[in-house]
Amino acid sequence: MTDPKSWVDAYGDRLFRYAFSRVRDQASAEDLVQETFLAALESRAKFKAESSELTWMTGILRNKIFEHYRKQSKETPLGDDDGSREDDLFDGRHWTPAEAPREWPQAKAESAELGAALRRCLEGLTAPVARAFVLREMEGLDAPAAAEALGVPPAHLAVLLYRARLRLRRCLEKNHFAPGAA
Amino acid sequence: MLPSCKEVARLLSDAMDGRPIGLHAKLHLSVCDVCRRLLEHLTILRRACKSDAGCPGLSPLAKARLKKALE
Repeated sequence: MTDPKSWVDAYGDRLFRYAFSRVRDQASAEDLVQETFLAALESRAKFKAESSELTWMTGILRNKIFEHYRKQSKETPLGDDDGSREDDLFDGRHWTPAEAPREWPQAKAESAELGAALRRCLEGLTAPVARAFVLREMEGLDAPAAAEALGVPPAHLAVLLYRARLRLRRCLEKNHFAPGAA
Repeated sequence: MLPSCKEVARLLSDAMDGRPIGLHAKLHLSVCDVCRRLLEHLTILRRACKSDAGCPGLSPLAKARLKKALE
């Protein structure tokens, strides 16, 4: 195992990016990285060289992020999002002409900028909707595990994910894929 | 009657979580370019989640604080 003094320079940026893209808040992401390093320091006797140090620390950070979400879920009621914005996308049965998904240029769909645009769009989501999306799509939990982590019934998780996907799709179309957008 | 675009949008989101989409929704997709585009966009969205390119790194101040905590 490497000297803990070298961890910040070796792994700090990678772990911070991982945390920041998920918790959407610089101070929380920094705190989570610090907690991860301290937990790694305490339990370094348990580290097995089967995985890399970075993989091991990312696993610790992942659990810290779940704990962070559980705390947030208790503090922020999950019913604060009524979904009326999704109703505005449709005119009765069909998409309204203004909101109908448009063709996305392939070059922009494959550009590295898409990930950054997605993170900016995530900042516009309400906390419950964003947490559901991050756990399911970024952390890769399956739907039952994500519902359990958030403390919501599976049917409610499905509603939150629907809202997240439609809002993010719309945000990306306007801010990344539209002609002239960055 | 085939499901509406609004219903299909919800079914496509559920399908991203492993729920079967159903024959009627498949028929709708076979005739609706816009909903097919939604499916394509949801797939691109999922792929984009795997990238943290362009994300900022730790600030020098945060690095100094972390190094101190590890001393």
